[in-house]
Amino acid sequence: MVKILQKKNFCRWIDSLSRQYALIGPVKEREETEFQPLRCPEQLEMDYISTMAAPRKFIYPSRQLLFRFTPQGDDQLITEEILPQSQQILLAVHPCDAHAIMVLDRVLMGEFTDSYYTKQRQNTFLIVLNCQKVDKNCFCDSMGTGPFLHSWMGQDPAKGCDLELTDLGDRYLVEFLNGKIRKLFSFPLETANDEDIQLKKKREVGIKEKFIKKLNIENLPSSLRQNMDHSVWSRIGEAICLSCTNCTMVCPTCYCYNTVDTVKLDLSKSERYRYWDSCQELHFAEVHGGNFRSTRGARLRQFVLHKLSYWMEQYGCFGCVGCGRCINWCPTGIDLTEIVKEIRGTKINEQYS
Amino acid sequence: MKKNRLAIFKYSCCAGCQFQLFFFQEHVLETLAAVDIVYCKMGASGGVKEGPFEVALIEGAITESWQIDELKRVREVSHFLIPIGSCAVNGGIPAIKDIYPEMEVEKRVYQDLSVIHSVKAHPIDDYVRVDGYVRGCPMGERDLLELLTSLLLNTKPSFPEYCVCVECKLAGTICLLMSEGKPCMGPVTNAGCGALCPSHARACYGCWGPAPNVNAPALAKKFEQLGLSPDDIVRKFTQFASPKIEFRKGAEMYE
Repeated sequence: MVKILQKKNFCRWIDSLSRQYALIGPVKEREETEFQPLRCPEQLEMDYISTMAAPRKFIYPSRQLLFRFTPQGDDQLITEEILPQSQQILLAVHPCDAHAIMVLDRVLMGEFTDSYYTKQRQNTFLIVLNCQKVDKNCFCDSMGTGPFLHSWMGQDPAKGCDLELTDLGDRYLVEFLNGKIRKLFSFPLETANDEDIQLKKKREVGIKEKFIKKLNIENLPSSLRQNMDHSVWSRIGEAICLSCTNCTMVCPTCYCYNTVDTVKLDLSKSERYRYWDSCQELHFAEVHGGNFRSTRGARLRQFVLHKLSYWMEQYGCFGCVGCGRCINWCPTGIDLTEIVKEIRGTKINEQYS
Repeated sequence: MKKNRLAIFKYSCCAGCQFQLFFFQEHVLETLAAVDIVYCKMGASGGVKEGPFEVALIEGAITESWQIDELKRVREVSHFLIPIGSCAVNGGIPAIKDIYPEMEVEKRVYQDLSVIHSVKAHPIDDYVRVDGYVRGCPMGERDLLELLTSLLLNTKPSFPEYCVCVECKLAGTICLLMSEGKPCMGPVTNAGCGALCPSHARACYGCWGPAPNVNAPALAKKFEQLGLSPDDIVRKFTQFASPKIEFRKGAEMYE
């Protein structure tokens, strides 16, 4: 169902949303825009480009209490599981981030089901906002996840998202992707005509021309696999990479976590938390007898190859949605698209030599 | 249940880490109930200096020879020996002098140098085997609690061994280095403080010392691009952990 919302009515439309849901959207914070719980719809930064933290943190929190356990008697434990209770609507999520959440769905609600993620995901509505601007490090167009919402590698927006918004200047095109979310709004909308739908198509063509950053994904998984020993890994790993984990922490599809217990000093109560872990940390691949990724180069290769190669074998899609965050927030400017170019370049040279 | 005997030995430092034990917020009473603090100069005069100790906490850097003798004796009679705070773990503030000739440093303060027995500052693990580190300046509350509960449970304590960037990202604090171009030591500094300074929009200045396997030269180059002078860069990497090789590498290029 396709509708039209005049921009002057936008705040009233958001305000009409059912009160039982927490609203989360892009809000100005210092020099950036970040996803935050909204106090009022006026706070929304609808023309933001990107955020540091991906919206995944509202479904898969950076630090999460999983359960409490209390010893009773000599050898008994009473366990109390803490499942997330909040019901929420994520507003103005860009298509790359929406696909990233659907990628996480494959990982955490697929063959193995993460009960904490599943519970929060089922209580989350996704309102997608098609992009109007392209940043210098955006390459969703190359990956196929953006700048407008479409199906991607078996991920159907109609299944994973709830509503699609497109900025048409003085009005939004509102496309309900399922019936559930429509009932949450009580503000009446106009019906869209053919002209509006044509304008959306025109806008999509227009924005697609603006991409500067590109990544050639043809045969990418296999060509990276053939270059495990390429000199780019040790060169960047030793000289440039800080192993600071920023790339993985801002990545919208990273899902690794570690668990930690906190125990009260009188040993009466314990809590188990999980928090985002990172393959860029030294301890990540530490096992009895050694560490199988003890160099920074090996850890950087793990990040790039997991996103662009192994993910395909594991889950049937790329682990990269082209949001550009790992490039934006790398303190030393490491760019995975440049790494891919260097590797592909060498391949061509080898063919000619 | 027999209580664990805990002793705190102090070498060259401000004693802030010992005081941290008394400023241990809601855990002070629980700590006193859980362990027997038998030697703690800042807490009570006297005390039992002789072992055995279940755990010996060492604060301060080693700067005089008598400290080495005592430290080695303490090691022999202690089940666990843990350096606490940046001075004991990394050399800390006393080790700022390590990058200058000793005489130059002494002359700035003293007229008669013959009474000064100080040598270059060293972290504790330069002299004895240690069983873990409680980092921080002063030592971190979370790590101290982890140490004490692990002692009671007889488990291996889990201290963070990653950099401050992780804590900023977990807290959702916007990266000061990338967003505002502030020279932040977060990418090379060991976590545990909960990214305290960045959460108040101040760049990390590395008081917890280096995290394992960090790349200080790459960050030093970044600071240079941000417009820091060579002297400033050297100061960044020698303020809290100048004896540590991970930070030395960052300072060396600009000395």
